[in-house]
Amino acid sequence: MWCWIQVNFDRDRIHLGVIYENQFITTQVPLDEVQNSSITALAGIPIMPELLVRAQRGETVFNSDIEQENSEYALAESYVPLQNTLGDVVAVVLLLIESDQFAGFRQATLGSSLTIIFLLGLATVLAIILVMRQLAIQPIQKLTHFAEQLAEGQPIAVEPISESTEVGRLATAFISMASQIAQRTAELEMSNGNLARVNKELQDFTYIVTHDLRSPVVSIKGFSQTMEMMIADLTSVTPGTEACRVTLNNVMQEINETSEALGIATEQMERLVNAVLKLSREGSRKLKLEKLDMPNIVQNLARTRAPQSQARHAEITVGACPSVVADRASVEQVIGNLLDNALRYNQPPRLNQIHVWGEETEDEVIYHVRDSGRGIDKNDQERIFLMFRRAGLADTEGEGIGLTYIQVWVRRHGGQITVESEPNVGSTFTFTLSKRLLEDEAKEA
Amino acid sequence: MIEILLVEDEILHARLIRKNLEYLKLECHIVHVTHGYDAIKQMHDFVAQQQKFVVLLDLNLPDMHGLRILQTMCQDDNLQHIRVIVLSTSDDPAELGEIRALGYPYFMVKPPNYRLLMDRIEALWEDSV
Repeated sequence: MWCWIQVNFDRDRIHLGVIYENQFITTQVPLDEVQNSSITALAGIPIMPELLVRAQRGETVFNSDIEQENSEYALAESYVPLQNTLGDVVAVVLLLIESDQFAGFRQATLGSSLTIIFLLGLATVLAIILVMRQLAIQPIQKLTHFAEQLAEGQPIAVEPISESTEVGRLATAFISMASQIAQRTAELEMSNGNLARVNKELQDFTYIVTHDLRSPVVSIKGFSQTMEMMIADLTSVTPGTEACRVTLNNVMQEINETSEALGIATEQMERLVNAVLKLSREGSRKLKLEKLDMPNIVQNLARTRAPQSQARHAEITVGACPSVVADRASVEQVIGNLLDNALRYNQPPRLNQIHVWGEETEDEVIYHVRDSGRGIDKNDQERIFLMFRRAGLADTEGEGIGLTYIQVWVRRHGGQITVESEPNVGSTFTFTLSKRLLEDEAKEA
Repeated sequence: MIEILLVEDEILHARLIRKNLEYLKLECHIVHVTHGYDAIKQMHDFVAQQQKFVVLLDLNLPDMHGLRILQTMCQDDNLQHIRVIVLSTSDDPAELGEIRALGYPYFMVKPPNYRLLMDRIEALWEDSV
């Protein structure tokens, strides 16, 4: 910071000028007031640009340079550097004295070089006020500004504030607190987002459980009612009659059909309950994290599917496979399942070209499984991750739980799974695995 | 003969409806589809043939949710007039509200009282154009 102080003598008054932060601040002080050592009324006027440039370069600026053309008096000049506590020159006091006037001034009013010393002192006080302003008031203003930004929830633009003062340290502490608040806010927003997602999934899950698990119950209940109707029929006929024989025949036929339906419904119920149980077990199974030889794992998964590939007119190729620290069983299940899906949802006679490859960023490893199968309608792309939900033609076997499991596994690895797909062109499933799993695990422990 | 379009992916549920309506001696012909897309296609076919019909609609279908079928019907001038009885395994009030809001007031929780179901089918059939 540079601060320029200029002192000019007039017949009955002194002009004090200070260049400070793009402003040329002047005041006129009557000589009798100088003697009373008080300064009044500082007024701001625009700075002369050339003066500022030169001042910033550290040159001493003489009044004669500025007012060369209409200078009416010769000058005597003197300048004194002002230093702050760190030894930086923060201001230069420049004393400009018109020689004749100075002589007259000395004789007429003060008659002592003490006046000069006093004026220097005065200028110094002014400079110190300005230095104080820089060191104290400005950081407080910045602090206030930060506080306002913080209150409005804006990001805080961090400007350096000198740490050498109490206020500076306070400001630094404040900024660090503010950045912590910002970080916490971001974390909260993220966990709020996660919470909303989990909530939505819970709703979906509840919906699925109420609909799908109630479905076999409806069948069981419905066919039990059929049995009751049969019993009612049987009790309404007189034994030994022709009507009784016909009813008995009907009932025997119905019993076969009903017991078969009850069996189907019970099995369906069992399958659904098992799927829900398996999912809940997968969600709580402890992950065994280790560095995985991904090229080997992926190649093996592809190799073991060679017979199906051939049978279903598909071709599996493997690209770059960056290694990752993860749970081996989970990763094998995820990629294996995606490969099985890619093989299953083909579109003959088109050759189904399946390609697996991975890439790496600073935070995560990203894997893709691309196929040229039948693709997935845009409306169904979210549904396919829901439990028991399947999309498109119902011509293939499956419970509609594979992708739900995959999603659980991927999320447990701090990742996400998404799909990009175009019907009749193919799908690309992309999943990420966090590289920070070990750190997070250590943190949790 | 009452023409019924039964939209139901659960084979056993469909069988129960058919069996019970038969038992109650409702004179009807049932066209059964298991997917939403097929349901909408069949509706268009019926309308094109000027065939009057009543829809029994399950909500939980594999390809699209029943609500989406109802929304599609609302927005289609050709399908707006069709009378629908919604059958669902859950009696979720929120879902019920959405269905009502779309202008479909007939809703039954599965398994329905088949005699009431039959009465309603007959009433809507009389009401249909």
